[in-house]
Amino acid sequence: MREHQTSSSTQSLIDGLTESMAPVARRNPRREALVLGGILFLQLAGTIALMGTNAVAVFTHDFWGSAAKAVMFAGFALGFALLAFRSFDPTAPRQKNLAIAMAGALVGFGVLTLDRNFGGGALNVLRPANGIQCLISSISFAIPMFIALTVFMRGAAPTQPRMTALFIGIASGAWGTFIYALQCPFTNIGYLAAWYGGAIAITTLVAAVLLPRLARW
Amino acid sequence: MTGTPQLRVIDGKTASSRPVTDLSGLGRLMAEAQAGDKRAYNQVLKACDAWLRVFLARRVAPESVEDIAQEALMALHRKRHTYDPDKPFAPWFVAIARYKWLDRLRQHYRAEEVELEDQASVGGHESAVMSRIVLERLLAHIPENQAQAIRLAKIDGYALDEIAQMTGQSLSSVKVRIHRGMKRMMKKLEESHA
Repeated sequence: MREHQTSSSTQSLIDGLTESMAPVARRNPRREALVLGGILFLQLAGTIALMGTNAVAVFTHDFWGSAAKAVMFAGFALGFALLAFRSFDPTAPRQKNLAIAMAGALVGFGVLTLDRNFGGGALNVLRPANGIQCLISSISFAIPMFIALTVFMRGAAPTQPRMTALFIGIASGAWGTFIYALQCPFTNIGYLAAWYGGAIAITTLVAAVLLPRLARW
Repeated sequence: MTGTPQLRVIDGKTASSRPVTDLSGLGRLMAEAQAGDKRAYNQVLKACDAWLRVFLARRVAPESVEDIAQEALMALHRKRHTYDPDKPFAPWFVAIARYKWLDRLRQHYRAEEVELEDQASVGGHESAVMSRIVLERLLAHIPENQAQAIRLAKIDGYALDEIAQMTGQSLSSVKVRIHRGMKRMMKKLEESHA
C-alpha cells in the first residue's frame, strides 16, 4: 500500500469544498421526464383546442399522408428527446450510431410513405409563401421543449455536450414540426424536406452553438 | 467495507503494476455527503484526488496534473447532485474526470491552432497537457505524414519552418498536417475509453 501525498493547494481546495458543501436534492430523471411529458401534453392539447376543426380537416383531406408525416416527426421528437435524456448521464455510452440508425429509419419511412410527386415545378412543390409560415411556426412551437430540455441539461452532467446539444436541437425542432403538421395539409416530400427540415436544421444549429456553453461544468 | 477508501495495488500482467486507487467503496460515502455529511464528503474528495493523481500521471504532463485534478474535484462538487446512489460511484466519477481531462486537451489544442496561424513555431517539446506515452500511442492511429509532422513539432521540438525544410513540404502544408493530425487524435481519444 502506498501513501498518497496531497499538495497544499489541493488540500486547501478540498477543505474549502468540504466547508461549503450543503445537502443537495438529487437529480431525478423520472420526474424530469414527467414534467417534460406534461409540458408537451399541454402544448398539444392547447394547440388542438385552438385549431378546432382544422386538425380533423387535415386528416380527412389526406389521412395516410398526414398520419405518416405526424408519425415521422413525432418519432424524431420522442426518439431524440430520449437520446438527449440518456446523454445527461455522464456514464451514458456514445449514442452516435444509434442516432444515425434512428434518423435513417425514420427518413426511410418518410420516403416510402409520403407523396413523392415532383411534377409542376419547384415553386409548386415548395410553395414559399406557405413554407415560410410553416418554418416560423414550427420553430415557435419548438421553444417549450427546447427550454425544458436545456434546463434539464444544465442540472445534469452531460459529458458529451455537443452531442447532447444536437439531440436537443433535433428533438425540439421535430416536436415543433409535429405540432405544426397537425394543421398543415402538405405532404409532399420536397416541401417537408425544405421547410420542416429547415426548421429542424435551424433549431439544431441554435442548439449546437448555444447549449455547450450552457452546460454549466 | 471500511469507511476510509485506500490505495490498492492491482496485480496481474494485463493491468498496470502500479498502485491505483480503489473508488469502489465511495458510493455510500457520497450518498451521505449528498445528505450533508461533511466528513464523508471530505473522505470522498481525498480518495478521488488520490485516484486522479494516478489516472492523470499516465495521461498528462506532470506540471498539468495538479490543475486538472483540481478542476475534476470542482466538477465533482458542482455535479454531486447527479450521482445516483443506486449505481456504482466509480463509473460516474471516472466519466467526469475523463471529461475534464479531454476538455483541457481541447482547450489546449484550440489555443495551439491560434498559435499555428500566428507563429512559425508550436512551442517546444511534448504537449503541456498530454503525456508522451499517450501522444506516442495516438500517433500510431493517424496517417504517417501527419504523425511525422506532430512528432517533429511536439516531441523533437522543431520549429515549423525547420519541419517544412526537413520534410520538403511548404509551411502551410506542415500546419495543415499538424492541425488534421491533432483533430484525428482528439477524435480518437474521445471515442476511446482510455
